[in-house]
Amino acid sequence: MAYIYKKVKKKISVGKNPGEKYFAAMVSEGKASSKQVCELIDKDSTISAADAELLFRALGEVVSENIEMGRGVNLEGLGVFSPNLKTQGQSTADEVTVDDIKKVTVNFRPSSTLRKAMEQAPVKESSRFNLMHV
Amino acid sequence: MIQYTVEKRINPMDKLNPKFYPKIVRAATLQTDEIANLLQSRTTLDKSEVYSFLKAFANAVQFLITHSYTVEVEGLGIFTPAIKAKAVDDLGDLTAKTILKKGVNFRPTAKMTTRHKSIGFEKANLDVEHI
Repeated sequence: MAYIYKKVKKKISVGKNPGEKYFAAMVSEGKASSKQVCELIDKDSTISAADAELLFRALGEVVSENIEMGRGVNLEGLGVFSPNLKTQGQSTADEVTVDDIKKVTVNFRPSSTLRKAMEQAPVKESSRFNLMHV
Repeated sequence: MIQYTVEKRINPMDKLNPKFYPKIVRAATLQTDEIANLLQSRTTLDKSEVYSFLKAFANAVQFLITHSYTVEVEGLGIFTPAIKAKAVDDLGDLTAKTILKKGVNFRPTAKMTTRHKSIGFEKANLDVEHI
C-alpha cells in the first residue's frame, strides 16, 4: 500500500523565486475498471458482481438527479458528492443573471474515514521512472 | 432546478472594485439511509444488501486509491489518487517529505456532465451575501 510518486523537473516562470524546480508528481499504478471494482465488491459483501454493476448505474442516477436539484449526496465511508457552480462576475448585483452561470460541476469531498486512510498511507518513489522533464 | 443567490466578493488585490457572482443555494444533503431506500426501490435487492454494497464500495475505493490505482465506476465517474507537493531548487532535496498532502480527485462521467448542461436555475429570494 502506498502513494507512488515520480520526480519531475519543470521551469517555473512566475512567483517570487522563478527558475528550474523539482517536485514530486503522482504516478498511477493502473486503472481498476468498473468490472474489477464489482469483482472486489463481490468478494467483500453479499452482493454479486452483476448486482454491483446494476447498483452502480442506479447510484449514478441517484447522484445525478440530486445534483440537478441542488442537493448533495453523502455516502457513509466514502464521501459527499455536491453540486457547485462555475460562474463569472458582474460589477453590480443587479447585473447578475442566469447567463453568469457557466457550468454545474460535481465536487467530491472524501469522508473522514477515507481521509484518514489516505493520510496514513505511506509514500514511495516509483522504480519505473527516472527524472521527468515537463 | 437549482436555486441561486448573489454573492459579493472582494478581491484583496483590488478592494475598491468588488464583483458579484451567482452562488448556489444548497438543498439538504441526502444521507446514506435515504440513498439506500432509493437504491432498493430501483433494484430487486433488499436494504441490508444495499448497505452491504455501499460499505464494500467504500472499502474498494479506499483500498485502490491508497494503492495508487485510478478507480472507474460506471454510471458515476472516476476517482484518481492525487498528491500536493512543494517544489524544491535542488534534486537532492526532493524526498517524500516534500509531499504535503495525499488525496483523491473525482471526475463525473461524460454522460452526467452532458446531462447537467440542461439544468434549470431559479433565483432565490435572499439578500446579497458578502464574503
